[in-house]
Amino acid sequence: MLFNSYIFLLAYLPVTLVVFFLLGKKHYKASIAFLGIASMVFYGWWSLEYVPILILSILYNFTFGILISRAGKRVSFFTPKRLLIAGVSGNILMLSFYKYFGFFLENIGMLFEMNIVPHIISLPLGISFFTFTQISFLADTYKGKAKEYDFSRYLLFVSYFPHLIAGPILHHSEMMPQFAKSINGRFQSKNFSIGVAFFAIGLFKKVVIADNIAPYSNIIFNSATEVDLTIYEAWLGTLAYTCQIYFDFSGYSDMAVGLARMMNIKLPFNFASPYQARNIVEFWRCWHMTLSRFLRDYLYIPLGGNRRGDMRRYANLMTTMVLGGLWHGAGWGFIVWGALHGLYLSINHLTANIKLPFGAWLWRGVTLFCVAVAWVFFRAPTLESAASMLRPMFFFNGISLPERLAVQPLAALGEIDWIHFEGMFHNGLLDPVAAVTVIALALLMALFAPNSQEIIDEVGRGRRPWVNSIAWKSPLVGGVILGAAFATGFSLIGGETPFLYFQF
Amino acid sequence: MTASKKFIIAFALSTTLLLSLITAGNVVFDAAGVFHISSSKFQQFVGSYAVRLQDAEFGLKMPPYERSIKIEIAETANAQCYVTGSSRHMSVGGRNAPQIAKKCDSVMNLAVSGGSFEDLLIFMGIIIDKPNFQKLYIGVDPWTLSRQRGAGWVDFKERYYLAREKFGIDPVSTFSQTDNFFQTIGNAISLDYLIKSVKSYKSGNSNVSNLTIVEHLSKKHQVNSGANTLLSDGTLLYPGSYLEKTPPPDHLVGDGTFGLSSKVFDQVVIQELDTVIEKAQDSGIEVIMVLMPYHPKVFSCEHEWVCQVIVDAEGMIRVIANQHGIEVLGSYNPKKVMVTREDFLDDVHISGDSVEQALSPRNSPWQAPSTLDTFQRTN
Repeated sequence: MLFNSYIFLLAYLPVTLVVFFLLGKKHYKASIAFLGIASMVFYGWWSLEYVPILILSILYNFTFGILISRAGKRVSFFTPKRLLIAGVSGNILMLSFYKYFGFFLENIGMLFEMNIVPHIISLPLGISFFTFTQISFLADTYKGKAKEYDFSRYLLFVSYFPHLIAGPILHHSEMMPQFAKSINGRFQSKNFSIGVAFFAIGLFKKVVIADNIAPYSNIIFNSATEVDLTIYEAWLGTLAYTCQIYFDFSGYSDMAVGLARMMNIKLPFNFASPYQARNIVEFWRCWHMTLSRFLRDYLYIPLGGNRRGDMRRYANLMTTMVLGGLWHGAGWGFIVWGALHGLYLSINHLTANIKLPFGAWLWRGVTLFCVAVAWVFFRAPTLESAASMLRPMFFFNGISLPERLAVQPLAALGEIDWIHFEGMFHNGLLDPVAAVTVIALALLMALFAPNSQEIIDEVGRGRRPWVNSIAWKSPLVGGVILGAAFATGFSLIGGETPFLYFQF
Repeated sequence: MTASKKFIIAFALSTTLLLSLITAGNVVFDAAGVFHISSSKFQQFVGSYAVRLQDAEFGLKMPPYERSIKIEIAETANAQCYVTGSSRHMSVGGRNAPQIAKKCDSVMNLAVSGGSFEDLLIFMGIIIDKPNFQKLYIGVDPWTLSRQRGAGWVDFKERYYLAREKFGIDPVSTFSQTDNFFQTIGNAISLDYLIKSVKSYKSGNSNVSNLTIVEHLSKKHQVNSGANTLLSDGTLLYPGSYLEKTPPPDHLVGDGTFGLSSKVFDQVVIQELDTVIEKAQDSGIEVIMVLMPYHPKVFSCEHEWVCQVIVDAEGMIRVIANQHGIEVLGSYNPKKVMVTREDFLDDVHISGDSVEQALSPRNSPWQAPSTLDTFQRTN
């Protein structure tokens, strides 16, 4: 079931909210158990065959959680560390089987020139997210930061439907105290209104913006190996995907935050205007923030972080980012994407003490440029296809000018090898006026508009005090505007389009 | 009243008002006649269209109610051979497929856009008892072996359940009244539909004109008009402007995944397909499977998993065909039937003139891909 579907919005969500609040009035534990079951129904709606995998994974990690937290009390072979290693290994094995096994076999085949055709194993939805959430639980249990003996609460922690499929990736410690408060079983109009506001913004981002940009990036990326893209087409496709993935994933995250908030639960934010970042370090503080946090806490710091000299720091950064790329999927494109970001981050740290000339806007532009180039590897189905996008982006296909400019004195430019007069969009892949308009509008929003937290005043006075509490300074105006945003998104749902991050 | 309560009220009112306006607009303009055309008037039109089409020398302009018309044709036709399937098979008929023409005195094409397994059941439920019925050409797509891959059949769910009953297939409900409810809601509040309706209204193509039958088109008219034509044998002829489109397409339409998913085989659906084939064979009907090729671009395997799914699907279909002793015409792989990109209208639809080549004997015997070893049949 998708958040952007009629069945979810008109049936699942209202029924879940009403039953949760009715039960929560007097029987909070029952309401928690109900949410766990409702979350399983939500997950099973996609495909019943994956429910046992989710339940097994939950049982496995719950058991290891108990074993780890109790192991410290007695001396035995099963020390907490060994149990942690065993528990985490089990998770990684499962993830590897579903996600990387085919990729591994394929590359072994290529390496040894063997004809190995791995059978496609369909990926259980949300497996990367619920596995990482549980790895962090095991690590926190080992560190003594988490302890969980109540299965129904643990089940809800992992399967809680707002975050189950595509995050945010949660820490046990930030969720369980909230699930423990019985007051959270009661309807609270403030939290509900904040939740509704987040959801409305998220739905608008997904249905109205991301889904309308998607055709442009799809057509360009799908044609990259077939036609010689012009520089304009290649950049339009890249910028389209840059906007699409931001509005799609941040829209999903806003909806997740909003849904949980309607039920008085605060989920961590995942985005904070990442395309307004002035450097890559700042970008990663604002992009998929819960994954960055996970990679920092459970990979980068355990690897030694920046504590063992600069060279080791850069190696750690590179390892972390490559594995972060690989987490998104089994493909060389994801690995290159991760490696590029590792390189960007290393350069960023290397130049941290140098006072850079020019204003912040220039560096915002440079950061966005680097991020967009990396997205090409993330989106392109193959490295060959990525190269077919990058070549025209970096002038290797020359510059194609409108045919009507082929008159003197400009026609003389045609003598230069890399200048042609074949038209800017001569492949006829898209309507350039519509594409430029839609992508430019989306880009302007990503670059200048306040983010959801700022609009809903969830972050206090930030860098844009003028925008704080747009929704609450004048609740009637805020309600009307966000109601219109919700209605527009709702009326454009049409065919259900899954979120991009569901594939990871 | 607190700010949050004021916000919720304003939010609810604003949402309700905007959705009401869209709904009102949809009901007033209603380009496809979803809310305006009465069912009796519509049935009268569909019935009249089916009769006139079968009497037509050449064909009729195709109205938007394709499934209703094909179902009515199925009800009234008395052909010896029938072709079912999706839009990929809508051009297949006796006039352009001698392989079919030489075996059939009369052919009627019942393929519909987005034709799915459910559509096959619906049409088979209607035609199986026809006395003259001798051969069934089932156009099979990779998605035919799974459930609910198309949405068009949903409007005819009563016929679908009747067919299940007729074939003795478990009356498992794969569709509920709630789906219907959401579909109706979706129609009413769709901003896309409102925009299309307003455009249609401005251009003078109101829903009433959709119920007007353009009489007996000539070949010349078809070539010059921008509309699809349904020929008297139920096959589709694309408008001349579309056919003359050059150069032939060499890129994938949309995201290139054709609505496929990595899970295309539903064992229960395959068992139900077995039942339909067996019932047809028991009634003395010869069943033939038709596989229409995909554009060579698809088989360049840019989306490797799409390629794999299509190859696996052909493998599974041939396994089923072998078990029932059924002939298979064509292949999903264009190289196997020697069609090139010039034979295609887009990445999934072959032009009518190339149907004969597409259904020609394969240039090499079919070999099961290694992944076929993993297929498991449970009958």
